[in-house]
Amino acid sequence: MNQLPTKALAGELSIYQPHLMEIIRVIPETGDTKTFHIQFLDSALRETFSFLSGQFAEYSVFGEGEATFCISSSPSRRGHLEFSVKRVGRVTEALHQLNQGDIIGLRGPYGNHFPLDQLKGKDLLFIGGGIGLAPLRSLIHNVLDNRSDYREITILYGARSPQDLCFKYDLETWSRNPAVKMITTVDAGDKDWKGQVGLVPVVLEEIGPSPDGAVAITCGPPIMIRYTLRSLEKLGFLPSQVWTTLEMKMKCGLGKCGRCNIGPLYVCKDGPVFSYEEIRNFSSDEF
Amino acid sequence: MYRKITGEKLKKWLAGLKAQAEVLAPARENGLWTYRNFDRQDFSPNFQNSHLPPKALFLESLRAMFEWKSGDGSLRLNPLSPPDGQRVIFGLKPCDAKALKILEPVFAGDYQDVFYLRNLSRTLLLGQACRAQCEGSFCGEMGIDPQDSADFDVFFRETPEGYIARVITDRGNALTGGRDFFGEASEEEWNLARGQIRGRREKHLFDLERVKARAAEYFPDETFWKRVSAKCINCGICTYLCPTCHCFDLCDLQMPGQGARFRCSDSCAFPDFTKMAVHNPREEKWRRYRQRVSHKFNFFYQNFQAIACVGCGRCVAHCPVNLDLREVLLEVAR
Amino acid sequence: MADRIRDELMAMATRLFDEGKIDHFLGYQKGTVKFKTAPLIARSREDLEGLWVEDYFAHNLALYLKEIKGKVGILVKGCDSRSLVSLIREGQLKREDLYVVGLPCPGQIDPGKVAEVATCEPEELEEITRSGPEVWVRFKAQEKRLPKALALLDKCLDCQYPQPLIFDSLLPGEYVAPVEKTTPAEDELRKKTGTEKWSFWSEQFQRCIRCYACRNVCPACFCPRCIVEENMPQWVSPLPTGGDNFVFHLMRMMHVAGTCTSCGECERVCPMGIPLRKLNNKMADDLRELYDFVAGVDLDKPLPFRTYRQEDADDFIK
Repeated sequence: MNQLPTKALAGELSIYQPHLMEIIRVIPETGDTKTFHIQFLDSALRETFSFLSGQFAEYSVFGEGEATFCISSSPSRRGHLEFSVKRVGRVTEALHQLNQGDIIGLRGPYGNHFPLDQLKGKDLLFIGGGIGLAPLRSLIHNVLDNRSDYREITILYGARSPQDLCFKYDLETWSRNPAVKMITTVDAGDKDWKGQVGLVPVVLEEIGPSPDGAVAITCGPPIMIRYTLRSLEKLGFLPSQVWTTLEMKMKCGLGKCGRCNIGPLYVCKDGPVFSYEEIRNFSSDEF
Repeated sequence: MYRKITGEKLKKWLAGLKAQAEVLAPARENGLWTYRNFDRQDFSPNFQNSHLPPKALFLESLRAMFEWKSGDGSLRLNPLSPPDGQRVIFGLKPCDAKALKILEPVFAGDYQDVFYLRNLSRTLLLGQACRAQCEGSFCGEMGIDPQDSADFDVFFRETPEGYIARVITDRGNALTGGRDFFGEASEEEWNLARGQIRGRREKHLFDLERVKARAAEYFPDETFWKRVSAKCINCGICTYLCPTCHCFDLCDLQMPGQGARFRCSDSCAFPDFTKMAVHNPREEKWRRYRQRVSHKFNFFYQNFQAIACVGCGRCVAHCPVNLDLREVLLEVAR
Repeated sequence: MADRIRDELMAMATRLFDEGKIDHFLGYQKGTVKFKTAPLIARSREDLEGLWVEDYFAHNLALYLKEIKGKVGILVKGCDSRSLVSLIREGQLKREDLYVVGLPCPGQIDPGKVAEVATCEPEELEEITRSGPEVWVRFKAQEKRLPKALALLDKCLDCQYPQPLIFDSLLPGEYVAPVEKTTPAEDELRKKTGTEKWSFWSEQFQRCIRCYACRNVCPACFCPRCIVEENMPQWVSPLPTGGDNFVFHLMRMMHVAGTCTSCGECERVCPMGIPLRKLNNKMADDLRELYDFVAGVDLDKPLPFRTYRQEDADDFIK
């Protein structure tokens, strides 16, 4: 028979109760995407809260509900947390209406994380599309803050158009970093766009990175991921060398509500980070 | 350890327990069997099982978890206490008690769901052996003995004089100790009290081991799932009446200046269960039915080493279109 | 007799498939639990094997026309055919897509009612057999005989349309009301005050578990996306509070008014035994009184909630 939880009743947070967070900055990324910088109201938590790249949290707009986003800031950069929101539904719409100073809730960190120890000493190839750069950037900043642990770093990032590019300030910083190879591409340029044009998987194959001693980490729209995985396979990457994050509708975020499973795996507990080795057996229509 | 008690004394005993605990026992309400506050009701020999599973007393269909008050830029969160107070439920059945055991690791583990776990720890489970096979049930195939179970605090078998009780836990022992009501009984008396189960099948409909072995094989068979789920109407009856289903939703209720967040029941049969903004991986009915069966007979087993089904038969007996899980399992096991 | 009907139906449905006239056939198959029959959805002649028309075919198969498109053969009782008329009238179905087969109905037995009248528990019922104007019940080695009128679903007692209003074929048999037409006793609830009614329904809806079986089984509920599923804005909370349940049911009743034919399926499938048909009947009576309209009977009469006339009352617009 189970043990009673040792914590006292009143005043203690149940696993469903969020921490209160203040929005300290709102950055519009594109027409429908914003990045929020938030910090704990409880100053003690600002010091003690920790997470690993790849983990996510459930963000509350009290009265509207919760929505799931990865923590896109790096654990190596403390002080505040960052997450990015595309406006697609009720909670995201409500988040977009909020401003600096407003209060939201955060539950987390949940999920697994990118396997840093498997990346150390390797060439890293980051492939991102659209808002999919959000989980990657946590890892990228984390890696760059410990640059000497890793060999060559290549970041390939693309969006539908120049207007859809997210985290332009990061793209700028990374392209000026001599220790990083940064390639930005768009599916279709505009009259001002002077950079690369082409779909991410196509540009990837043009770059032709070597799989030897390399690890690829990719996040983006499902269709981009599917074609990118195929391209990586063509380039000789083994499934165990490729990592990605998956998304499913979530509610509890901690493996109880039964919603986010793909087969026996719960994206909130066994993911959201998966190696291609783990998911290659999922038929593509399950998620 | 075994004890015995007469029918009359059992009712007096339960009535007496009300001084220190909420005492629930089977009763008919609006024509449906339910567990209700014990009111010296006669225990009908026709009681087989409750309509809604007792799971609903642990994983409530509506549970407020915390509330907030907001105004002039500030927000105050107030956690709501988990349910409190001792509770005794008499007349639970082996299938439903097994279901509670199956669900426990879901709500314990890395994140302890205090609402569910508090309900478990504050409740004493007093079971009653079955004397008839419920309509649509297949508990035998699921490895449950309707006349014996260790998943309770105390388990009762009927005798001509009253009951023989098998005391299983320390709590059960403490509850039934004292000489006013219960007398000592022997294992022999217990064994003699094993009753026949009306309608029990001699031969199992299917072999559970074969179902387990082949469930994964059937997963990609779109034609099979389309065929077996064709008449499903996507309601939530099977999931809401199921003692092992545990899917839930989190939902806010907002009033001016205040609000609360609730946990409420949800069903994987509903079309929007996995709907995201741009994509619903289980848009088609056959995928949802496949998920339901595969989760219970394959995925849950992989995660918790238990099949998330106890064969109580409620889904079979109450499905509006008689979608019979037994037929599906039979085909998978063939 | 049942065999003869079945054989004829089997031959008809097989022929319809062979001639390519239908992609699906909707009928009934034997149930796997006592006193139940299941819908049969056949996509080919092979699927027709389980066809069964003996007893307990209360299901209104028109519900499947919400999801099954194309050319469909469908078995209907008189009451079911009203749903077809209603849906055709509402532009949800095309008459030419349907091959409608009429099924004679002796009235549908309600096991719950039988148990109540026979004074036994529903679980104790062992067998129910029809015998002319009577229904024989066997339970716990006892046998009781009831007049048929006491054993049938309420809706069968005042069957107005025993013969399908539209059909392509009629299976052999008598298309008559199952019991002699009596004026059904007025619903006691109608005589109560508003407060009493509020109290009654509050209690009923407190028990609703939001399984949505009532909505899903209803042919008149053909919205591809139900208003309950909409969350921008959240018109009805998904939470099963008494108040939200109340709103859901009243809203649904109002939404189906004019299309609902009081087939009673919502009430029959409700796992909590909520008497939903009382609401359907009240609305049907109101529509008859206010607009001289009965749903599912006429393919031509204007629909009250879909027709605008210059002389429509507008004094409620302030």
